[in-house]
Amino acid sequence: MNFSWEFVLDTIKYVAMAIPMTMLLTFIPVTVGLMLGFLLAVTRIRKIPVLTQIITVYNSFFRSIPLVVLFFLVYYGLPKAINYMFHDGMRVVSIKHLNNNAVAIVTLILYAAAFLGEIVRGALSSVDMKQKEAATALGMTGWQTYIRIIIPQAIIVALPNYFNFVLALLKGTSVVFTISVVDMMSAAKLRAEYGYRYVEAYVLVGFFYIVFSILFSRIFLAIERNAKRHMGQTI
Amino acid sequence: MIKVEGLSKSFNDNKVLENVDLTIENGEIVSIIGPSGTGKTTLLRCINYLERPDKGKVTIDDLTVDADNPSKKDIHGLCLRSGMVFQSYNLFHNKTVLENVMEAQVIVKKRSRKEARERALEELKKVGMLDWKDHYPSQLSGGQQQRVAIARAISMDPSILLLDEPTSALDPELTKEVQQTIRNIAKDGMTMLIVTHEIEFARELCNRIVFMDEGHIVEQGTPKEIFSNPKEERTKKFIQFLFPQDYQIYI
Repeated sequence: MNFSWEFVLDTIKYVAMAIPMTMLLTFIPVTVGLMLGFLLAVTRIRKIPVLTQIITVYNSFFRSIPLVVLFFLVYYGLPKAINYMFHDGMRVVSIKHLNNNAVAIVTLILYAAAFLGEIVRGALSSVDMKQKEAATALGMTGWQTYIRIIIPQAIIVALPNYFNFVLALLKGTSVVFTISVVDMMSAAKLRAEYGYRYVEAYVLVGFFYIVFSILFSRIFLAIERNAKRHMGQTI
Repeated sequence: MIKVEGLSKSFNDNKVLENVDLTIENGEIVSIIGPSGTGKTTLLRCINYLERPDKGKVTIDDLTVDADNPSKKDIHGLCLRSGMVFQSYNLFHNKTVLENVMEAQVIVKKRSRKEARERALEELKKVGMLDWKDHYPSQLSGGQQQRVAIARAISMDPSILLLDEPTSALDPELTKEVQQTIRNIAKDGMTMLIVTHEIEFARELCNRIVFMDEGHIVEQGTPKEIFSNPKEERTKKFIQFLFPQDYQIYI
C-alpha cells in the first residue's frame, strides 16, 4: 500500500476552506447556548414551577442522546413535524426545503444549551449564598449582587468545564457530515471518496483537529489564569 | 432610635417570636442573651427584613415598616439604616479587603470611588486591617475577616449596627481581638444590638441586657440588674446555670 503525500498536500486546501464552517458550528452554539443555558439554570435554581420540570426533561433528553441520532431526528423528523402540524400531514415541506447548515447550528445550540445549563447551574450553586444576604443587608439589589458578586465567582468555577465542553464540541461537530454540511470532516471525506484515498484524508483531517484542540486549550488555559487573577481567588 | 412593636414570626408551625417589643435609644448598646433557639437571631434578622416577620412594626429613625404591607423600598430603607455583622463574616470572596469595604459605598451610596476609598481606608485603620487591604478574604483568619466585615458595615453610616453572634465562630484568642474592635466602635458612639453567648463581654460592654426565652423578652435591664438581681424565675435559672453555686459576680 502506498501513502500518497501528494494527495495529502492536495487535500489541505479543501479541508482548510471548511475551517470557517467548523468554527461556526463550534462557537455559535457555545455562545448562544451559554446564554440560553444561563436562563435555564436560573429558572431551575429559582424553582419556577412547570418550567423547571420542562427544563429537567429537556436537559436529560439532550444530554443522553448521541449527537448523531439527534441530527438524524431533527433532519428527518422536522419536515414531518412541520407537515403534521401545519399541513395536516401532507408532504408539503421536505428535507430539500431545509437549510442544512441552519439545521446543524440550531440543533447544536439546543444541544449545547442543555450541557451548558447544567454547568452554569453547578457553578452558580457552588457560590456561598450567605454573601447574598450580606449584600442585601448592605442595601444592594438582587441584580447588583448577581452581577458583581455571584456571577464573577461562578465564572471561575464554570470556566474549566465550559472550555472542556467547547473542545468536546469542536470534535463533536464532525458528525455533521451525516446531514451533508461541509465542515472539515466532510471536506476530507468528499476528497477521500473522490480519489479513493481514505487513510490520507483522515490522517490529514485528524491532524487539523489536533492542531485546533491544542491551540484552543492553550488559549483557554491562559484565559482561566487571567480570570483567576482578576476576579480573585475563590473558595 | 430603633423601635420594634408586636413583632411575631413563625417558621411553619413553629412560633419563633411572639409579640416582641423592644426600643433602643441612640447611642445605646444592647445585648440579647438567652438559651439557643429562642429567637434571638431571628429578632435581629427581622429588624432588617432578612427574615420577613409575620406581624408587627419595625421603626428605624424616620422609617416605620409594617409587616402587613412592606414595599420593596421600605425594606431597602431598613437595610440602608442598619448595618449587619454575621456569625460567618460573609465577605465577598471575589473582592479584596479594600474592595469589600468600598463595594456598597459605591454601588448603594453612590459615593465616588475616591471618596469610598478614603472612607474604607479610614475604617480599615480603625479595625486594624489597613495592612491587609489588598488581600482576599480566603487569605485571612476568621478574626481578621470579621474585623473587615465590621468595617464594611460601619462604612455605610448605619443608624444601628446589628451583630449576630460576631465571635461564636472564633477561637478564644481571635474572639478577644474582635471584641476589642467592637469596643473601639462602641467608643465612637455607635448604636448596637448584639446577640451573643459571651456573657462577660456583654456585661462589661452593654448599657442594657435583654433576656429572651421561647420567643419572648422575659426581662431587660442594666447588666447589674440582670446578673445580680434578676426578677423573673426564668432569668434566675439561666443566670444560675451560667454562674453555678458560689460563683461570685462583682460588678
